[in-house]
Amino acid sequence: MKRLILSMAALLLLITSIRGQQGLAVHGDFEINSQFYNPDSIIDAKQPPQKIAANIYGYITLRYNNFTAGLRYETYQNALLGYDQRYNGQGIAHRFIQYADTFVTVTLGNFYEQFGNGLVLRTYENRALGFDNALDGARLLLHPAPGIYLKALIGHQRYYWTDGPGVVRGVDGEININQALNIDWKTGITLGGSFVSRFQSDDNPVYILPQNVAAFAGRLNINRGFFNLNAEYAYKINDPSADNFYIYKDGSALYVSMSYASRGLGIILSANRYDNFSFRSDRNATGNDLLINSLPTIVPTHAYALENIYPYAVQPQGEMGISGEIFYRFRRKSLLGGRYGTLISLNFIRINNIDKTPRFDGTGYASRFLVPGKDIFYQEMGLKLEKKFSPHFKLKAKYVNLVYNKDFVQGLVGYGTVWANIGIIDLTWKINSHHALRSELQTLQSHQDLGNWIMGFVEYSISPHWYFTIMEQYNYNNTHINQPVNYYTGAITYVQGGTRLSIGYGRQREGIVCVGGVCRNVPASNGLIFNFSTTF
Amino acid sequence: MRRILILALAFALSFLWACDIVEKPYTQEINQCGHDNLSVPIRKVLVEDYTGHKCGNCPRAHELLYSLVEQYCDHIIPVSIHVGYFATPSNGLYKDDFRTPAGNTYNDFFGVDAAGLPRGMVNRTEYNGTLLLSPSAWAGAISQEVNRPVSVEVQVKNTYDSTSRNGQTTIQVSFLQQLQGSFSLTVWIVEDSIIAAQKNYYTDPQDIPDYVHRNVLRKSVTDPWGETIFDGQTAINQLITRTYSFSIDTSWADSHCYIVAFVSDKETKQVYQADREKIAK
Repeated sequence: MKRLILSMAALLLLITSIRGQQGLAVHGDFEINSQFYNPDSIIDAKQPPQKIAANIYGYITLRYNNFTAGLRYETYQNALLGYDQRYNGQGIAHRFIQYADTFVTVTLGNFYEQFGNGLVLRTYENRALGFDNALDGARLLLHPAPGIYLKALIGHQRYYWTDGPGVVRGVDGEININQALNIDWKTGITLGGSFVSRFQSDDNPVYILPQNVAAFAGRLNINRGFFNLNAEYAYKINDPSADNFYIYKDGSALYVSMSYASRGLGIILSANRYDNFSFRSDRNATGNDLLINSLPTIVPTHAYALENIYPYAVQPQGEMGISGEIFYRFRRKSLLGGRYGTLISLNFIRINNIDKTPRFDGTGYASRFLVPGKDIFYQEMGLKLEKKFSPHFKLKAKYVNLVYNKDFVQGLVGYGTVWANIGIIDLTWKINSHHALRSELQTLQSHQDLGNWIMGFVEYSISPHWYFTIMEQYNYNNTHINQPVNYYTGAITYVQGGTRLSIGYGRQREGIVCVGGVCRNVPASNGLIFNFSTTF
Repeated sequence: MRRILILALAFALSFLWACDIVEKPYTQEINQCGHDNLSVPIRKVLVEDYTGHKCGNCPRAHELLYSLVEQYCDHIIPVSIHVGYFATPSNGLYKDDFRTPAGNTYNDFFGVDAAGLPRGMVNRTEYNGTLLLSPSAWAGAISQEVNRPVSVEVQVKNTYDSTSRNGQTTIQVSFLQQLQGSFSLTVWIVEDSIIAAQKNYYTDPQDIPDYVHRNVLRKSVTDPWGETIFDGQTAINQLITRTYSFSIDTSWADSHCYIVAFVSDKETKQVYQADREKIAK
């Protein structure tokens, strides 16, 4: 409460003192996500006692010359089902003041930052996941010479409505060789390095715990013409934690991605190996709490609903994988390109456990670097086709073969591995310059777990304001439920400028949503959904 | 020049930050066994280890707990309570059902399974603002609880007839300080060293058919939330004695069974003191 009053007072003071002056810019956004819940015994949807839940966010920034101040107010009355109920309540969740010129940027208060690919540090907010690990402290960014960037920061992380117990300290440097040395090579090289250390006092009478846990990383980016390589390696010293069950083994993380894209041909390759690399500002935290880093996934984001029934979550305790995609755009008026061109894409992803030989000396296990473990976590093989038949018709078709180890990926027992085939057809019919109809037909076929799905989706849009959508997901041969279940939703959305208003009704299937290694459970629900957002 | 200085400074700063590398052994002896140097009665802390035979991370929690028991001896009263999804029986190896109505009551009330196993509670008292603790926090929480003065003493005495498998337990509660509140006495039967299957992600193979399950909650003799033994302000040295009858299921090894009793606050559920005694000498 004291914090709230202080922040409000500071903001008011700022507004009053600069009111009427030139050069003041005010920006922000406002968002309401709410739902009215009906009980629904068929899908085991619960009605919370309060019946209605809402997550509401308001963010405002004021910029005047080199100064920016901002705050975000959040209220959860209560938090939507599936969001951590520790958010319930309201207050100023985020506030900062910043000075920036071409040489220096200083931030006090809350801030988001990322070093390199995020292997050792990444703080961000993701409202769909109910995730916010913002730092609360101070940050200094320096740009002392062309091509040279330095960052230093210190702070505690957000933990619902308070701060976590550990202190995060970090420095990062990046040098763009070509800019720094003012040379005109065809090959661009950027080098970077980071160091992050967490302090948390040792409150354990039995274990001798490292109070300062350090992680460091080095990265390299090379680009030449159509070719780009991005590689980062990180290492963390002993960090016994709730995640690794108090083992003193050092951790390591390697992430490499490479791409080539010329006129028609594109190739994307990536590989990773993560070993004992969860990094939090509280060694006793679990779930999505107080993560300092964010390990990038090699599984691209999936656009279609049925592909997202089995989402992959990065396994920081151990995974190694490879991912490759090759696509080719047949040119217009060629044999396969037809009148408007054709895109064909093939992709393959395979993620295994790392090799682990148990050890009983407190270090947990030994692992050979280049040997994959025998458990498959995830495998995906896909074929995608995009074709425009006329100025009015566009077709996208996709086939995916999926192997998903539900036990490992979601930390469960008894579900085993799911083998699934997914087929998708996405057709857009542009009726005229304002009216368009987009439809999706999807199916997922599996003998395990939730069984088979068929899904239909239709969206009719009258640009630039109206969107009408209807979706039906039909689940049958589910090994957990004896009867087929219909999940139907309908929504009407109105958009004007930066404002979006949407009202929908329907049934939502139970599942999880994952981005990288952060997942949120989505309970089955039935009810009316109201969403509103505006940016200014 | 100024730029170079700043660069150098930032570089130097990065090395100032400590990085503590811990060498073996990773633990230190804090041996609290034996009562000679401690005031009597000693503090006895109830550690509830919520677990499941299909929970592959749980054996790590058991290891942590019993390494603490080695250090603290009878200052710790460990009880494993099988709850939730990971404790459900299934055909084949995991056919045993170690769940109990009392365990299910605690699971629903504290939301243990929903928070994810393994979890534990130390005297059902918050540690660093958290009640349901991940195993890594247990040692700190136990240290906090062991070092608090004893305000209530609990003593369990049993008689048992191995032929009829019936017994009686007499629990004497003495209030050593003047306390205000509503006090509950809960009595459990716990069986130690049950040989049955357990999942362990840290071994190869992961299914261990002959795992030793330590101190498993079998039954609550009283209501899961206990019997209210006093309401109001206690007098110093006030004594309350209760006797309960119990019987030991034929599938339980009576020579491995204990009576665990503890006094807790009826409202906050916080545990004041616990004790345990083998049913058969």
